[in-house]
Amino acid sequence: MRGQTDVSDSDLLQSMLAGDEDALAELYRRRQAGIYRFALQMSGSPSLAEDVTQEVFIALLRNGKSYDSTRGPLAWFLLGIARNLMRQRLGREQFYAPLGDDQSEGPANKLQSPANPLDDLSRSETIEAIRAAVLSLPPRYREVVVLCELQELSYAQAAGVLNCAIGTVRSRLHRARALLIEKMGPAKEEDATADRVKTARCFA
Amino acid sequence: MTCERFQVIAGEVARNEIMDADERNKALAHTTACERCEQALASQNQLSKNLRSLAQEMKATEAPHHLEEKVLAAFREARVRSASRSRRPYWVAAAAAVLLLAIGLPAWLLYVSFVSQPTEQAGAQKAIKISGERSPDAVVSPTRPPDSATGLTARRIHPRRRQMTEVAKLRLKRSTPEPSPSTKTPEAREIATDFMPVGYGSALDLQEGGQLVRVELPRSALSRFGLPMNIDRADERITADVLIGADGLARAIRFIQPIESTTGIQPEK
Repeated sequence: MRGQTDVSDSDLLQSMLAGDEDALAELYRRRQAGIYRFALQMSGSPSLAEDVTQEVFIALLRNGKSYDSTRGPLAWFLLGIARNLMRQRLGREQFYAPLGDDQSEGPANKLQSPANPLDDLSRSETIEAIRAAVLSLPPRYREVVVLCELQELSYAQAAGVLNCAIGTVRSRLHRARALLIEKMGPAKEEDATADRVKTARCFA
Repeated sequence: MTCERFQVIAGEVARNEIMDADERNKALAHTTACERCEQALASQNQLSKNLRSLAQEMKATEAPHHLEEKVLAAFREARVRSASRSRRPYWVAAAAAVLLLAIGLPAWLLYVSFVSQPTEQAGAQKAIKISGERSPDAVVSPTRPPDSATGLTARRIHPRRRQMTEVAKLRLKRSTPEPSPSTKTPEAREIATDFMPVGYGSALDLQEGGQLVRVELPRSALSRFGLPMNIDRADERITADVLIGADGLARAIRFIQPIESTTGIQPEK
């Protein structure tokens, strides 16, 4: 059997659709990690991430012919499937209730301390805090954070996955980061007082 | 640069996104003059650092190993299903053909027997009619019993079984050497011509069946069909079978002569 490590994803897909199991195995090994991580970062649930990853490849078996290589790499196509499946699952199961901008309760706020927590928490605690904060975002903001910050995709790549304009990705990410800072930052009351003072000084 | 503009681009500055160098320099310069914006940039930098830590921590995360086997098993199952689906039409076609034969053949046989039976019964009970095309001198003998000794009863003629020949080929049909009286059949004691068409109809379009009626005609009727006739015996009568369609019109006729009388319709010299 010919080595398939240097074969493109598109060629592997064609071979897979023609019935080549080795092509599917190679494609799976290449792309499973990104899909699983995306699903895990979106849901926080390993079992759900596992289900979604499996469903992505099953969907690829069924609808792989609909992939158009001119619209982007296969990795985006797979992430797009994963994103749609995740939205369905999140909408159906409500794994995580999204927090409003000024909600005082929720998993992310529970992790906050009265002082700036980021200075005090150990690294692992910080990671858990940021993970919880990301999970507490509304899905449309969460997915851009996961794609652009955690999966390290560019705006253009994320726009390809989400099938939206680059400007939409940029504005959502801006809003998502503001929410994360708010969830991870100091208490709102202190912040609000400081805001008034600083704003006055800034515009003076 | 204003604080509003800085707040818009602070995230991109912290993420080191590609942007206009002049705008980046202005933004960084603004943070030295504005404590609030400086703190905002610090928060953005801290967030980026935390997100990078999370990304780094999950970088090695992969799907469980058993998931690959699940996906490959689903692939095999789908392939088997697809193969069975592609074979299905042949099975379906074969099953349909067998079913059609199993149902259609008996039904067709039943239909054939159903169609032929009532026609025969109707033919036996039907009143004998002679069309207006027959000779006005014809005498019908409807009272003759069906199982008379002559056997020349009205019987149904299947159009496909009985072929008509042209009038020009008319010839006398003589039965095979006369059998002994004990073995004689009614047909063997007669001489009959071939059927000759009567009028404009054809005996071949008797799809609905027909009746054969024995009549008597003046011997002069032979000349109407181009047959030779002894003028001295013109006033005698001759027997004929008339083939009548379901519409009551005569379609064909043949002339009959009992074997005892050899001078009947033989061509005269």
